[in-house]
Amino acid sequence: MTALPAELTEPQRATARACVRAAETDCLQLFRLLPALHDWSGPARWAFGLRVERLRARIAAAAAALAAAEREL
Amino acid sequence: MTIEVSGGGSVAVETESMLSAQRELRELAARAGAIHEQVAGALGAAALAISGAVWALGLAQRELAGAGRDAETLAWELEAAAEAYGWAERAVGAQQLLAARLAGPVPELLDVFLAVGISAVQHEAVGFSDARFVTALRGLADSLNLPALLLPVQALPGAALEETPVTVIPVPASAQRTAPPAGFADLARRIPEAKAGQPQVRVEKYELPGGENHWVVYSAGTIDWSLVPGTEPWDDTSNVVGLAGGSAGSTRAAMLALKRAGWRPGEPVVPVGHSQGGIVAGAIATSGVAPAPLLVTFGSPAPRVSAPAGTIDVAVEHTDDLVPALGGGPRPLTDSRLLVREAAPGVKPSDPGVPAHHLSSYEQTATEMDASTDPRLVRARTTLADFTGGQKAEVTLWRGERVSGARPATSGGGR
Repeated sequence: MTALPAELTEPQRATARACVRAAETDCLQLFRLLPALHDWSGPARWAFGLRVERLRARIAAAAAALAAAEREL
Repeated sequence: MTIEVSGGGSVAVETESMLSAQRELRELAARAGAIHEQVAGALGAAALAISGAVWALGLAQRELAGAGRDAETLAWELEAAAEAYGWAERAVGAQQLLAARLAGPVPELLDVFLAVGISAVQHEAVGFSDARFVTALRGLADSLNLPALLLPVQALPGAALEETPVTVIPVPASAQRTAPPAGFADLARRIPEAKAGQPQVRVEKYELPGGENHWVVYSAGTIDWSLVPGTEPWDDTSNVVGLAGGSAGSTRAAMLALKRAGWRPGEPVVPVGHSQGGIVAGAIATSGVAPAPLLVTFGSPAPRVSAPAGTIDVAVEHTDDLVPALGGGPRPLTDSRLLVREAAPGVKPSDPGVPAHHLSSYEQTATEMDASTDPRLVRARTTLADFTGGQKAEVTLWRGERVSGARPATSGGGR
């Protein structure tokens, strides 16, 4: 854990942490908006499946980074 | 209305499902943008502290921005697929073709060779105008597996071979009226020159006496040979994506130019193209939204997806031009598909570069085609004359641009 400088007061830290937590919650909600391709097949799945998986990975990375930031704060 | 996309017994995706996914992705993109703003606020507070929080929040912002862009692009592609189901039909055909190619395992280096092959021809220090080389290249391309190349490359970090939204702008003061093309040579001459910053698409509108509008659209060849897309849609990304049966940026730009020129889906179009322009022309003819009584390509590596019934498909290929060979073996000849082949006039195998591929060389062949009394070519010329009705054309020139990270709405419509 990195020590926080004196300039960041406890209320400021609490506010930042709450903001990050809210962002993380919202970020996790994004998974629900990913298209379900289970009933797709053939070229459509081929063309779009990989892209959706990449999108899923981006959202997961963002959520993980926000969780890490919250821990740091 | 529900459209079922089908073909080859392997595909069943309803348009409504695509549109639903598209709406979700648009919402996802909007929410990702909102969260990005939230994180910016937190970053401001955390910046007071020199901590890992700053780094983590920065990473979160980058991923959220990337997710927003990816979602927008994907939503736009889904809209395109649903709007013009002909694309999916083409993808089916291409998939079957490529699945057949999978049967012959080929070292991956050879796959890469295809991707860079078109670029390689730009290095004009070596002569490629040897029919034996062209034949070998055609055999090689026939055994390649483009999806196996395309997917891992697209999955890599960076933007190599990643498609983007596109937009088009009319070239100022380009509107003019001109006589209809008299034959193949005129068609070849009217194809825009493949030159950076210049228009890549020429659209001709013919108002027939009965009130019907007919259109001829001409597409240039490759302009930007980089594998990483910049602003030029006539690039290697469009080459590879187009050959794989995907929605190439250059094709979308050409369709958009048609729409902006006033074309409405269902109005007949004669697509004409050189090199990559042939991929564009073939894609328009097989889009399912533009009836094409005639399709004319010069030196094009168009994938072997047959033009629809009722289309006279005229492919002009020089036997010593390596570029058509990059598309693999010729499509099956049918009653309505003509393959016009000859050695490029005046080109020797030892000549440097790829003179057999130059449009000026194809113009000479086209002149010979106009002089030919072969009944098949006569029929194709008659079809062209009937199509224009001898009317003067209203001409507009268009320049397409890639719009990286832009809202997909900028390229809405003609895909």
